[in-house]
Amino acid sequence: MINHIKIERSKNDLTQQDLADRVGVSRQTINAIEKNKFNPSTLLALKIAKVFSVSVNDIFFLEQDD
Amino acid sequence: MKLLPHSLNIAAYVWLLAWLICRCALPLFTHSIIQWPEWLIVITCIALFVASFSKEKVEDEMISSMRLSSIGITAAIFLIMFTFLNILDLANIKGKALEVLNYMVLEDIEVWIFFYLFLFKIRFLINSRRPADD
Repeated sequence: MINHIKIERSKNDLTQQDLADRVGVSRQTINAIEKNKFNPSTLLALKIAKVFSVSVNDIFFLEQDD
Repeated sequence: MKLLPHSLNIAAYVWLLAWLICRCALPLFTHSIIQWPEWLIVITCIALFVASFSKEKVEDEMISSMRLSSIGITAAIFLIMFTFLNILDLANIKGKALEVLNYMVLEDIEVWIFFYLFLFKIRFLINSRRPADD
């Protein structure tokens, strides 16, 4: 799975720490999600999408081999 | 997914601290002599305890997932070592190193709790070291 969290953060001028604080996780978790080292739960994905005011499908995408 | 909370680590630390205190105090009450493999285990565990103790109280799903996978890795290594030692035992292979390994694997579950805490701490530190990508 790939994601556009970094792009959305840039659009909204948010640091990883800012986003982490807003969704209630650690900065390391946001970092790990952005680098595709960790897949968020449905709840966390929804919270992230809500911060950016977009849908989950606009941030997270399945790769061809998924 | 239910989170494996930080209190799991706290409970493990309390158990291990109590075990260390009891093990070190035992000779005072029983006048027994602790054998060298046990001393080696105790000293190793004290070192691991100091190295792995952490005040971090990060409670999120990734840390919880890391706790669960650390338990899984510890269990897998334990099973591999257990199988390995049983095979060596069947083949009648002996030695000092095997004596220590046998003691660690078969006698002391506390060693494995230490190993889990140490492994978790290492993974947490590696994760924390990743720089912010801002």
